[in-house]
Amino acid sequence: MPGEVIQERARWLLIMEKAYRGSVETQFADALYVVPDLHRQSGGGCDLALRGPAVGYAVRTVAPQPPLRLGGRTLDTLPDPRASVTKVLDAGVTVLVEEPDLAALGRTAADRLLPGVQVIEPYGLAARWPSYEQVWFL
Amino acid sequence: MARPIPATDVLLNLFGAPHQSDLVTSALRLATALLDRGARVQIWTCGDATGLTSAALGDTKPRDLTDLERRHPSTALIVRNLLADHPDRLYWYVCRFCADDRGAADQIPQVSKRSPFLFAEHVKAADKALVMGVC
Repeated sequence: MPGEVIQERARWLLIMEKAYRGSVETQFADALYVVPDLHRQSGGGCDLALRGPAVGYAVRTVAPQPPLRLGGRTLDTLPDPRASVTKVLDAGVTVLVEEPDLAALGRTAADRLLPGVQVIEPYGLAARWPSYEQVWFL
Repeated sequence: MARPIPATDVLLNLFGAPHQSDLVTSALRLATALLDRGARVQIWTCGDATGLTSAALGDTKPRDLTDLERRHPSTALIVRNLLADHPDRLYWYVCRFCADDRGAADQIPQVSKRSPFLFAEHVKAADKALVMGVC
C-alpha cells in the first residue's frame, strides 16, 4: 500500500559517484532528490555514500552560489547540492564519505564538511557492503 | 525553396546530452555573454539536446513534490524567453533527424527544425563555429 511503513528495517546502501549532472535542465530534480523517499520506502534504512566528485556535494563552498542570468531571466532555482545533502540528513539518512575522496578536494575540505556527514576510513566502504541487503548505484 | 540562413558571428553546436553535465548551462551562459556583447548567435542542437526545446516539456518542469507552490521553468520556456529577448540576433536550430529519432519531433514553434544535410550551410553562415559535447 502506498505510504505503508515497512516494519522490518531494511539496509540499503546508496552509492553516488557521478556528480553535477546538469543545472538549468535539472534544477530541484538533482540525483539526491529521490534519496529521502527511497529512505522512506526502504523502511528508514538507507545509507548514502558519496564518492569521488560527489563528495563535493557535502562540502560547503566559500561563497554562496549566485543566481544565473540568461537574457532577461534570472534563474535562482539551480541545483543546490549542499542543501540537498542537508535534506537527506534531515530525513534521517546516514551520509558517508571516504577520507581519501575528501582529502582530494583540498586541505580545507574536511573543515567545510557539512555537519552530520560521517568520514570513513580509506576503502572502508567496500568492507561494509556485506552488511547491507542491497547496494544501489545512483 | 530553401529558407535563408542568417549570417551570425558564432555558431554553437550543442551536441552533448542534457542531464549529464553542466554543458547545457555553459552553452546558454556562453550564448548570453556573446549576445550581451552585441554578437549574432545561432545554436544548433543534435542528439538528446534536441529535447531541450521539445513542445512536450510545456512551460514548467514537473512540480517539486516537496515544495508544491514553487514553479520551475522548463528548458523550452527558458530558450523561448532567450529568443524573445534577442530578436534577429539569436536563432535556434534543431536537427530534424535527431529530434525525430529521439521522439522530440514536436518542437516549440520558436525554433526551426533543419535537415542535417543543411548543417554545412549553417557552418558557412557563421564566422566561428564551436562544438560543445558529442552526441
